[in-house]
Amino acid sequence: MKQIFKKLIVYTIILIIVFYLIPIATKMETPIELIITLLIVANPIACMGTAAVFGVKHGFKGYFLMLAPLLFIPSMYIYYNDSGLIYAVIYMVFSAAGMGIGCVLRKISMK
Amino acid sequence: MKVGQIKSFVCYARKVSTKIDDRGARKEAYEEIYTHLIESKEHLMQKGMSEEEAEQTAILQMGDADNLGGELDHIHTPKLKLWHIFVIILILVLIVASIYGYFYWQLGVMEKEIKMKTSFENKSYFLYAIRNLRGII
Repeated sequence: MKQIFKKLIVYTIILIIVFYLIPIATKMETPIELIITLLIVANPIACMGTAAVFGVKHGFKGYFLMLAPLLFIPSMYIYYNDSGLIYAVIYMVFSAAGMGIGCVLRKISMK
Repeated sequence: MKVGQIKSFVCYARKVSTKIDDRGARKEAYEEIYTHLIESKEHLMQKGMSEEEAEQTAILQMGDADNLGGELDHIHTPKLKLWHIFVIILILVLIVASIYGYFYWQLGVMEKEIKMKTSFENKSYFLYAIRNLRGII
């Protein structure tokens, strides 16, 4: 368990920055375009990027798929509303895709 | 566990190897640790230790299983290379471009629809006006 937390710490920090600090940095009076950009572009890209790097280093791990949705759900209630719940699932799918890419890169580099 | 294997050695080797992410390395490490324990047990027995004592000492000499497993996992974790980062960034850029492309395409479709709608509405207003004018005239 301790080893898993150790592995996840860096990725957790990155996702916390993206999910919590970027909306704060853009201030509360965010225009709708920015919210959509964050939800549709920035967050999935962060999920996929971190998952890809994790996939290269550790292979496909089921527990990593839960990281992005678990971190996103509180931020959804802070900055957005209930309608953002679908994005938690979308981020999980993006994480899975990213980890898949990471695994392929890992296999190629190990050959 | 195979017949004839020492239970405590198997448990120790399994505990260490489960900490390693890479499956191939896990199997190799398991076999390597097990054979190393057997060798050190034989060596200790040659020195005059009893079988039980030699087993325990061999395990103690290897150290904490969790720490050893963690270290082995660290060694077998592939380093992130520059080309990995390049490929990941390239894929992410392509995804961002496709997301934006999709939305611009949707925007274009919507604009076209609005234009068609407004031109149709203008036409119908124009026809309505002409009909009314005809009625008046």
